[in-house]
Amino acid sequence: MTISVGATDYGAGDDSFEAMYQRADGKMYENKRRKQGANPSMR
Amino acid sequence: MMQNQRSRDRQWYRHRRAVVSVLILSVVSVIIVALFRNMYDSAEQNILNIWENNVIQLAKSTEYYLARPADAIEFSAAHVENLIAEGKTNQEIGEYLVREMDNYATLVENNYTGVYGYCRGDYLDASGWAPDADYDPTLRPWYVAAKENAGRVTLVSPFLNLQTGDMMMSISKLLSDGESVLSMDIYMDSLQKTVDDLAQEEGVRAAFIMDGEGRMVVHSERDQAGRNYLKDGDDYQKAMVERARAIAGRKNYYEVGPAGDEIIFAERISGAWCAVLILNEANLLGSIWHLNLILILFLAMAILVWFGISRRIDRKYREAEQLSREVNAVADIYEAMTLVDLNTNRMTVLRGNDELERVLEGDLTDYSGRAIRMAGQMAADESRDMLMQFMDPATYEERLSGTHSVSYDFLSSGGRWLRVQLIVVDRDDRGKPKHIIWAIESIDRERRQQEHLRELAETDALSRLNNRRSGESRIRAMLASGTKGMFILLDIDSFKQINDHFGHVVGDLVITAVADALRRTFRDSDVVFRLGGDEFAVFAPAWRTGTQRGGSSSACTARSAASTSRSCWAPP
Repeated sequence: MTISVGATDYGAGDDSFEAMYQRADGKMYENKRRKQGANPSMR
Repeated sequence: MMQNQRSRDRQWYRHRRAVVSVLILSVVSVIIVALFRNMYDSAEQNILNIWENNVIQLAKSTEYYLARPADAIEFSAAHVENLIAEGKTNQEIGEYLVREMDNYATLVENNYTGVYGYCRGDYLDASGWAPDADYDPTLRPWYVAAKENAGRVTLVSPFLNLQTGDMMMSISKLLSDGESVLSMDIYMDSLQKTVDDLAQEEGVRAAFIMDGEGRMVVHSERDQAGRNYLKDGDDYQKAMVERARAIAGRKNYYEVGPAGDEIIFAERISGAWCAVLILNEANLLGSIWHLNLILILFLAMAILVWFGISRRIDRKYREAEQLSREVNAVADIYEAMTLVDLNTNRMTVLRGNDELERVLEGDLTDYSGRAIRMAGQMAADESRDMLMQFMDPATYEERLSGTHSVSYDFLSSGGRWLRVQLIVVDRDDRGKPKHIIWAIESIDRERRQQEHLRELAETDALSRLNNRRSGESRIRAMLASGTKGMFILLDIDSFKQINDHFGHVVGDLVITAVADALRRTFRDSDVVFRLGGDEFAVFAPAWRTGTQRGGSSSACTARSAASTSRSCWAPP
């Protein structure tokens, strides 16, 4: 399972749902790529 | 089916009402007709009785009028017979008759011309009249009639005095010697006046007295006096006389005349004479017809008015019945209804249920003092404060100003969802409610259905978590209210391979297991939802990434339960 976290009250202060979602989503892909590199046998 | 049955019932009900109305109307009409028939008969009989009395009175008057001169002749005849027996001369007898004239004048009210007669070959006349030399008294009607009547007082046929134009009549008697006769002529003026008076009455065609031979002794039409209808009259007059004679011999004194449009009243007088009145039937009984016709018309109008009023009342009754059914149909919505008089603070239970009876405790007084306490007893803990505020009578005037009703939904102490409504019945001049209905409606089923539908709409069918739409909606609402928190995205690694290698049933089990783990891991106040496929999201309010380290325990639990991921979150 890959988990990524976004949050409200982030830096410049864009606390909309979309902004929060995008931050978490960006993290998700980043985590995915990192995880795929560490464990290629799961492919 | 039910509607057809009701329609048939209504039709039968209408027909039954119509039949009953017609029957009532018929019975009333028959009673009225019988009543008026009875009244008519009674009125007719009264009128006939009046004229019966009149004709009897005429007969009695005639008898009385004739009886006095007849008595006088009887008395004089007896006295003259004594004088003859005593050997008195005709001159002495004549002198006696002159003396008696004064007495007779008193007796017969001067309606006579004096006593005269034939005695032992001489004509005697108390009035002093001297006949011509060729005058033969034995040929005169008064003498002939007396002879024929053999000693009985004889009413000789009336005659018209051509010199005076008066109707006169002789009364005579044969004396015991078989030759001598005493007689007296009397005027018929008094009787004439009597029949004239009767003839003046409305509807009287004729009034007369006739002798036994059908001769008119007196008649309201004076030119008919002296005529003998049986001998000289036309067919109608003959028939009239015959009919009058027949009537006079019976106990009832009237009959329809020969022309068919008159009524004859007749009464016998001694000596086969008759007193007769002929009345016009239309005049006699027409007034009764008119009176009855007016009464019947009046009655018919009264019946019509009654019928109209009855129909109007019936229509109003049916409208009221319909309205009552409609009101009851509406009232069936409520399982408890209480009418409250806000002036007297008294309650009237229109419809009760367990909750209401429990809080009323049989006491229907002091509503304003008990309303808040009753509300407190009725509501569950979470609804109690609001319901007590809602039921506070001090706020009614303000809250019910400009609106017909106010309502509040609450959870009862019995665990049911109820809706309480305060409905204004009427107001005073200032618009302040005078009476209200405190109604309680059960909305338990509706409320639970709503919750079920909302749950279906907001829940992901497989994971039983919130679906994406409801999850986003809840998070947006939290953010809009300024709630801060942490947002987590999760997906299941290589979920496609799980589906491909083990099938979608196993894939669904994985989804369910992950959802259960997330449900157990996060708080009730956290928003956990499935984004779709193998992706989930969580919004945990009041978590601050990097600052609220305490939140890591929950997130890490999720990691340990559902994932082999190396980190529970990535700091921004």
